[in-house]
Amino acid sequence: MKSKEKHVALGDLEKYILMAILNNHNNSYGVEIKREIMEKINKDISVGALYTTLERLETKSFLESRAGEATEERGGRAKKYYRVTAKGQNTLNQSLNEIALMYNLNPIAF
Amino acid sequence: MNKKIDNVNDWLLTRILLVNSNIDELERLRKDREISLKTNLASIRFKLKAIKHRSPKHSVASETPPQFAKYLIYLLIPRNNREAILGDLEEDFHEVKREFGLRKAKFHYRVQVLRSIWPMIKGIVENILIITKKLIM
Repeated sequence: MKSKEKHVALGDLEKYILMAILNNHNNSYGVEIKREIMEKINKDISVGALYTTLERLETKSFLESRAGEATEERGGRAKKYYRVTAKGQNTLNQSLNEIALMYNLNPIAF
Repeated sequence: MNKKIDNVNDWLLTRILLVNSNIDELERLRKDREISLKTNLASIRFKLKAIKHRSPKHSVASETPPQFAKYLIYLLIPRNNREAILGDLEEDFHEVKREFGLRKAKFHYRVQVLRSIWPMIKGIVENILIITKKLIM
């Protein structure tokens, strides 16, 4: 079970953000990510928390970003689209597998 | 009776707006028409005050998100994310404005900024700690 690569643990919000981006064809910007998390698990995260986490994930190379289109509704400011990298996807899968394993081994805990 | 009072109020307001006058003018007009209801006068004063603050410049500015809250974002966010965050907040602002009106949209914007301050400061501190750790090692 032990992997040779250094294991990086993901926080709850990090997992939610990665999953929210993947749910939206692996291409989302801030408002979409926030909305997806709100709709799915009813968690209202602040813009500050969202972007701090996005930046952290980008630093760890779990995400890639690109500048998107600017709209009038956004005051002419460009959107920033995020995409989960292969590394990010692997780490998320590993993290979800761990949860699944723990759940099967000790179902009383849930 | 109430309708008559409203008509008088409207007449006074129109006159005052037309002559671009002040409260003294209102008093004079009131005496001319022999209107003695002080409660009406108070209501007219209130309306006048509201109209006075409704200059064209002010109404355009009030359609945009609160400036001080916006400034706080400028102060705390690194340049690379500033555009995206301000854009997201503004998009949210217009959505709330459409659904619930301008006042609630402004309140929502301020709350969003206040809620974001702590995570942003935390992010800055984390970055400083990472850099310090790298320098020490």
